[in-house]
Amino acid sequence: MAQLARNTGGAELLSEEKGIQASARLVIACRVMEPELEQLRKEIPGVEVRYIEQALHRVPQNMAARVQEEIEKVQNIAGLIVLGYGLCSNGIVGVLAPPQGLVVPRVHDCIGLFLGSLERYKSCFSERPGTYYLTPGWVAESRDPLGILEEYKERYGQETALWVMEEELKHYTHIALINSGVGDLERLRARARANAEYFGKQYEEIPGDLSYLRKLLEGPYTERDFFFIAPGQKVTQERYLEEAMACACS
Amino acid sequence: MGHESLPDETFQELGEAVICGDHVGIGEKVERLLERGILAGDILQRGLIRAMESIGARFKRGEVFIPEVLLSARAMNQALRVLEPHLAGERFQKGGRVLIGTVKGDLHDIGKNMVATMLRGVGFEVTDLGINVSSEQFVRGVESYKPQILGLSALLTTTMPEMAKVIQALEAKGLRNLLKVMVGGAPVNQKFATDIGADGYAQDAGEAVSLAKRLLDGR
Repeated sequence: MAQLARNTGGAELLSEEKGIQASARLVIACRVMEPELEQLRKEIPGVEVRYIEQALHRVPQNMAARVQEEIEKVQNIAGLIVLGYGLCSNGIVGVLAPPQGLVVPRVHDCIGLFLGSLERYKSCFSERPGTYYLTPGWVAESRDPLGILEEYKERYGQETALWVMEEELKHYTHIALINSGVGDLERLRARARANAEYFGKQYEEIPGDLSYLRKLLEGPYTERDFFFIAPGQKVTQERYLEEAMACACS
Repeated sequence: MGHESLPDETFQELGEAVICGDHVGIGEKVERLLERGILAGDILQRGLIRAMESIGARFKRGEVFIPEVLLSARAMNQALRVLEPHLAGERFQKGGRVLIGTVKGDLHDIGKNMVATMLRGVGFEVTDLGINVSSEQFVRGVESYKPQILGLSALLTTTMPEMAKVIQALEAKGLRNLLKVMVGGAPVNQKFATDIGADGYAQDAGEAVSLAKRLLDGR
C-alpha cells in the first residue's frame, strides 16, 4: 500500500481500493492487450491476468456475458478485480460488479489505453478521426485490414471481399502503428506498411505510452482514470457519457 | 392503396435477393414484378424495405455482420435505381424534406446512407450532408434547406454527445421548434434520445422510415 500511496499524485484513490492487497489483484483483459501487458508483467510480478478472446470486438452483444463468466470464475479468489476493457461499443454495458466491486478504465475503447492517457486519446481523435490504429495485438490476431480481408475472401470470395473491405475503410486516410516498443517491431512495421499500401492509406507510426496499461496492472486506481463499480451495480453507458456530455453542454 | 391481397410469396424472391446481396440479378427481379403490374410502392415496401428490416434485425442479433449489411445495401440501391422512375409516377404527395448527416468526429455512414436511401424510396426529399458534420454545418444546412426533419447519426460512444451539441446549436439560433430531430446509430438508444431532447429515435433504417412519417404527421 505504501507504493500505491506514493503513486497517487494527489488524485483521490477509489475508496474501495484502499487496504486491498496488491497480490490479490486480478485483471481480466481482452487479448489485444496481451503483448503490452505481458511486457509490463515482467516488471510487475504477482498480478494475474486472465485474457479473453479478442473476437468479441465484432460481436459486442456477446461481450458482457463472456466477461461476466470470467468474473464469476475468479470472484471467490480475487481481492480486487480490474477489467482491461473499454466501453467497446457498449459491449461491457450490463456487466455486474461482484461483491468486491469492479475497477474499470474510463476509456471508450482500447486505443485510449495504448495511447497512455484520456487526454492524448481525445486529442488524437479530434485532430484526425480518419486514423485506423494498429497495435501488436491487432496484428497478431490478424485483426488488421489485411487479416480481415483474408477472412472475408474465404467467406465471400475475392472480389466481394475486396469491395467490402474497401467500403469499410473508405473514410480512413491513415493507418497508424502505435509503437510501444513491444513485439517484433520490424515485422509489425512491415505488416502495418503493407496494410497502408494495399488499401492506399498513408502510413504513420506514433509512439505508444504504456503508463495507462501500467496503472491497469498496479494502480493507482484514481477516479481520474478509472470507474469503481460498487458491488451489485452494473456498468452503464451513462457513466462514460457524463463527462463528455458536460463538455458538450458547456 | 396497392395490392394488399398479394401473398408474401410474390415478393419472396426479391427479398431473398436483398438478403443475399445479389446486386447483379436484383434489377431484373424488380422489372419482372413491374411487368406483372405490381405497384412500385408495394415492391418497395413489401419486398425491399421488409428485407432490409430483416437484415437489420439479424445484424442486431449478431447473426450477420457488417459485410452482409453492406452487400444488402448495395443490392437495395441497385433495385431502387430500377424502381425510382416508377415510384415517382405513383406518388400523389411529397414526403417532406429531410436533412441528414453523421456528427462531427464520426466517419461512419453505412447506416446513415441506408436511412437516406430508404427515405428517398418512400418519397422524402433527402439532403445528405455526409460525415464528420459539425453543429455549425448542421445549423447552416437547416437555414438553407429548411427541412421538416433533421436526422443525426453517431456510431461511436465518443461522438454521441455531438448530437446534443447540434440540438443546442439549433436552440441558440431559434431553429429548434421549426423542425423535428431524429437520432440513430448503433450505440444510441431511446433514453439517450430523450435525455438530449430529440423528438425520436429509430434503431434501424426501417424504423427510421416509420418514425420520419410519424414525425411529419406531427405525431
